Amino acid sequence: MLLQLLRGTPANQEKGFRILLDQYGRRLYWHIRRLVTYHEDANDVFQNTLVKIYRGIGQFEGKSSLFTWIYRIATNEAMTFLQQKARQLTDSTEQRNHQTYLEQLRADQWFDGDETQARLLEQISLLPDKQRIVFNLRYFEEMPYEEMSQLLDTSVGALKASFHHAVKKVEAALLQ
Amino acid sequence: MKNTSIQEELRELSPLLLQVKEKKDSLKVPEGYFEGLYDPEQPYFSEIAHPSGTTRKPIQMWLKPLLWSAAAALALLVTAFYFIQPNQVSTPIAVHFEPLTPESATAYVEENILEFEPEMLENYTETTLLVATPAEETATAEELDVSEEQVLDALTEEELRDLL
Repeated sequence: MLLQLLRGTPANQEKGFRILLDQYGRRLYWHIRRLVTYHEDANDVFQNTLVKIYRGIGQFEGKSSLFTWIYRIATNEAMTFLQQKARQLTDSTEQRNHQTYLEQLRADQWFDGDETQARLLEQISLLPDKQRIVFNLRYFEEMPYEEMSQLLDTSVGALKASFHHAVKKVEAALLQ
Repeated sequence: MKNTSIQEELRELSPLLLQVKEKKDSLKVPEGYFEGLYDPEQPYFSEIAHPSGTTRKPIQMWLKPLLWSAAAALALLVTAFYFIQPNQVSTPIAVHFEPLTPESATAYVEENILEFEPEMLENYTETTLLVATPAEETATAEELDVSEEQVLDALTEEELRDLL
């Protein structure tokens, strides 16, 4: 029904978006936020994700569940955003090093954690893209591997290995 | 209810990360943020109301005087160009249309018979061929007693896209 609403008349589309936000809004936002860290960035990516959902809903073929499709859009949007941001930082003189990452995080009004939590986020941000997504989905979102497998189109075994590898890497950095 | 398997997994893998996970969330959101997502003022809402290829951005305030200056400079240039060349008499481009005769129209239809839909050909044989003179070619929708809306309704989306 949600899909029909989203593909329907403008009035129905509005209703559909309300339902979609009600069902998945928080989860989507947090998924994006864990990847991009900052609220302002997360809000931008979240808005873009909603626009992409709106524009692409006509092409959704139903090969995966609607939720999986939406989550993929959000993940792609967040990763594209991070790549663009990294490129901008590389081009500019304000190249971020480990110290400035922590400084920026501590200065952020929407961060309210202790030193270990700040360093944890820093280490997550240093993981390779795919590992970071797997780590966040498992560690923060507590997503079962089977669901993650559908979302990322990767075998459960590979996902477990990726998560274990990421955990060991982050732990080693925190213990240093 | 918490997913216990992740807790067990972490207990075996990294008690340190489990310990950090048990702490309160370090990331916060502004109060009422999720409730405000339904607000029509949200950027994505305007995209839904006015779909476009790109997200519209309002003209920056500092850009406005710059745009007005550019427009004024352009207007000045055009005026100057007009006064600098007063002797040059502009000659209108003459467009000459050969009058379309019933014979030439019939010859065209016969030559290109495969290009026509059967329905069109039926109409063609049933009605007298109207020969448009050059003056009649410029008849407006108003003169034809057809509203613009009716014209737009009659056009397909593809035809409209071709016109734009």
